[in-house]
Amino acid sequence: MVRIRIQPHRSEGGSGPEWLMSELQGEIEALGHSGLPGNLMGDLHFSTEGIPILIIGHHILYSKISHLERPFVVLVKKICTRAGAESAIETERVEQGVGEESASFCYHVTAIIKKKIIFKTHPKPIITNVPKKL
Amino acid sequence: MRTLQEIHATLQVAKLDPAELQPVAQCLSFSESFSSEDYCLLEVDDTLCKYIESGQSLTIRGDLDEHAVLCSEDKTFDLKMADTSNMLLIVPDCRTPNQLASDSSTDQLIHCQVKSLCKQGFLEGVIFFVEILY
Repeated sequence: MVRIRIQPHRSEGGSGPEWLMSELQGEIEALGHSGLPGNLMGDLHFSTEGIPILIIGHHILYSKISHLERPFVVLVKKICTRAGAESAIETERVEQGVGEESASFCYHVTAIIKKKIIFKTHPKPIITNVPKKL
Repeated sequence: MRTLQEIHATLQVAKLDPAELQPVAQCLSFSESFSSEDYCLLEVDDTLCKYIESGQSLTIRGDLDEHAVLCSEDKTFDLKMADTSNMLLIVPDCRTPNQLASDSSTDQLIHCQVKSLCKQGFLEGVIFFVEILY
């Protein structure tokens, strides 16, 4: 029997802080071979009416903020200390009398996501050089 | 790090009028540890959400040849893995207009890091849907 614990957040209530999520269709690729880590993604603005506007590279995306009916809990996999995992697993072993694989990792609740910025419209290209008519 | 001047220059190129935007811009970049963090999203209903927020822990159980289930103190939930073809970006420090309005800071530019993304075929970005079994 595999048992993996999901530990609540230590502070700020069991779910931890509230984070924001952004949902985009398609893919984001880095120019060249630099990869994504450490690189700039884009600028996020909000219009006076609260419409999110994201400028990525030479594209503009308009979106909206939507409330998640079913929130997402963000879990991070951690190696569990023997002390933490021991009691439940030792009892299990004694009861079943069988040695089994015990999970050596657990999940920690890190945050909760209740809202997302969802980009559904097609990105609009930003045209910078418009050739003059002759 | 991008400056406010660069943000405004981009707005000009994108032909967006700063007068039609809220005063705070958020500059998103990918964190250095992006894509190597072991994040996992768990979609929960209202019951589970309140349970987790109350600081209680959960356990994932199952034999190796069985379907995994999620157990609280008194309920068991079915666990499913799901993929999405959309990209889900996790941005912890990103703020919605309401949050920005209630923020007492007068900064016009906030730098936010995209911590992780979840998409189809991305092993760490696995989304669990939870339904009550019994």
